[in-house]
Amino acid sequence: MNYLKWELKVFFINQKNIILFALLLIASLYYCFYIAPTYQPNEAVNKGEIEARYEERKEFLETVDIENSTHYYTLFAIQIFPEWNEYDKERLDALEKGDLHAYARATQEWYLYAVEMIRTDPFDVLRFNPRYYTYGNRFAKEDGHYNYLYTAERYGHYAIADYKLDVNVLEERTALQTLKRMLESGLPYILLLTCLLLSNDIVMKDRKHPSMVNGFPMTPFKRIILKGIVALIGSLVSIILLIPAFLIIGLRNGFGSLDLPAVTYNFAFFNNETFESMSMGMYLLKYLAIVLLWFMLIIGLVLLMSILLKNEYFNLIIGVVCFVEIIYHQRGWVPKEWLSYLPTSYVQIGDVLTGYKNYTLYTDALTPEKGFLVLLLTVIIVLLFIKVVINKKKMTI
Amino acid sequence: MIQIKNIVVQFGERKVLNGITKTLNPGEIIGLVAPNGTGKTTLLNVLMNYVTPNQGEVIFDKNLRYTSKKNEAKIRAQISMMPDQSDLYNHLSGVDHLNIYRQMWSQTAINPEEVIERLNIAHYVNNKTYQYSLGMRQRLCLAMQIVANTPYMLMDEVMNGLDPDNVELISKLLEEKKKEGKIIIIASHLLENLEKYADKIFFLKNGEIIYSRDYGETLQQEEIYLKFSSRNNTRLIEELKEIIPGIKLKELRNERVIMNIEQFSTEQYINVQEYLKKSHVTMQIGVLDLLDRYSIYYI
Repeated sequence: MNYLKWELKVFFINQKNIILFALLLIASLYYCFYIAPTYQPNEAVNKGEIEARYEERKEFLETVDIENSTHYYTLFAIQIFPEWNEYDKERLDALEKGDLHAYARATQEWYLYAVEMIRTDPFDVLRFNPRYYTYGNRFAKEDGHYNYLYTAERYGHYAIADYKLDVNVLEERTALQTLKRMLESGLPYILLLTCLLLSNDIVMKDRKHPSMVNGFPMTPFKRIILKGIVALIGSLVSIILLIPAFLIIGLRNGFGSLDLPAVTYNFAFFNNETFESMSMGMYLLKYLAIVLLWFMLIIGLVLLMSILLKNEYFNLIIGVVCFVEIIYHQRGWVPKEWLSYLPTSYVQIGDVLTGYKNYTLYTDALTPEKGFLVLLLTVIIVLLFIKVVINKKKMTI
Repeated sequence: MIQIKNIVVQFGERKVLNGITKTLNPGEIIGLVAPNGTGKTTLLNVLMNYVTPNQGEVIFDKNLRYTSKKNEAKIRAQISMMPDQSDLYNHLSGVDHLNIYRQMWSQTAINPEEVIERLNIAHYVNNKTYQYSLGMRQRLCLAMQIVANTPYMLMDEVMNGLDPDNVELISKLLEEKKKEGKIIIIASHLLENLEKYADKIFFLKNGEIIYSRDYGETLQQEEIYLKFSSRNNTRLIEELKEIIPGIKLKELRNERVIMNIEQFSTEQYINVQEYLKKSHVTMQIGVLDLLDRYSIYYI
């Protein structure tokens, strides 16, 4: 305990660590002031857009003449637009009344209907929201399909929500939803690399003070494990540093509720896929559990490399584990199942938790449970390695 | 008690320690004397198990050996080595350093406040260590070890960078610690003070103890020398050779001239003394002291 306190003290006065914490804090504040407000969801609550579509289709349905020579596209439109427009009408009425639960119910129906129509479109003329068809996106249709069903599932939950609904919740702009969005984009990489940079000198820094610390009366394994715990606490502090940004977004857009839905995708062939939801609280708990395992793995590798190679710069190579997945998990290629037993397959924690990773890779191999086990086993193996190496080697740093 | 048994340490072809065997008892200050790079720090490192000997073993308290990591931790709760002043954490204060030593050796440690007062470091110990002079750092390092208060204390060049007042202060403190029953091993090439407070002195050369002196034992019959030191050593030596042809004398590197008095008849002995008196040279008669022996063995 005393050694832990000492290591913590040294860790938090380490200039490199202070700079890292400061950079992380500045970046998170920059994000909350300049980037988060510019977020435009593809599936926004856009009354004007709904109204324009509704009026256009309504006018079409009221004015269209059906003759023998009517084009089959027109006939198809006449067949599918009435029900579709009913949902848009319900959405508009609900927005007019300010009844967001009713809006959510109608919106869920709208998206389910839209997906079904696009899926069964015999002429391939229907399109998802044009925002998916951006330059260079080869997977616009898949993205649209996923996001429509994702939105339908989400709105289904909003329809029966007993927490306060507002447009920020519907457009996923609240603090919790912004955090979730970040966790499913670049944030895991930032957290893991921060963990690596914070911990990379946790062993090797003692080389500057050998006569002070080498004689401490404790076993080398205990000393190494305590160093690991300090690096873990430091890495968790890097998460805590995101709180100011979280609070600012929360005060601006609302914090959201831990009961908000976090939609998950279950892979199945032949369109038997399903979308379900867990609570935001559960999602964050699972995320935290896997992030903790990732932190332990990175720190464990740093400790092992430090004992073996005794050079803090070599430790930076460990950063490769965060990016190696890019080589073998490319969208459009179905990965071999054995790759799901590599811990590196679970670096995009949010996408694994929501099942989006499985969706993009046409597989059901990457599950949160498997990821948890694979990471846990890897951590245990690394710790065992450390134990063996320490017993074999002389632990003067 | 520490038993050092036949310790051999070899780096490549070079034997740094070659069969060192000694038993050190509680309540002793042991001076380990040798020029730099002759193995005294290596011996301390063996005692700390920073260096594993190629042969031999060190036994603490009759049966505690460095046979496992657990034993190593047990032994290190009993033994401490004075930290090197360049190893201090520059952005922490002296008090922080004292506190970690108190916490790490919580079973034996004493209150840092007592040590701060005893070593007169209160006026700077709250400052960050990058502001300290060499002497201040050195006193802090010693204070850290005194706070740990382990039964076995190893000190490498403890008096380095200290002014005479502090040398005196620390010498007294070491004597107190000795009276508490500690074994204190001091590796040093500064001999003046060592002779005052050490109970045993070992000279290391070529990996072996070439001379040892136990101040607790009655002196064996040692040769008695007439010694003098002057700016005009060369002239005096020449003239002494003229007065007593065949005189055997030796000028040491510490500029002291020594003559074994056994070689003189009574008349010759009186003549030599008369001559030196007339030349206003201060003489000493006695056994060779540490400085003399150091000059003989190492320079």
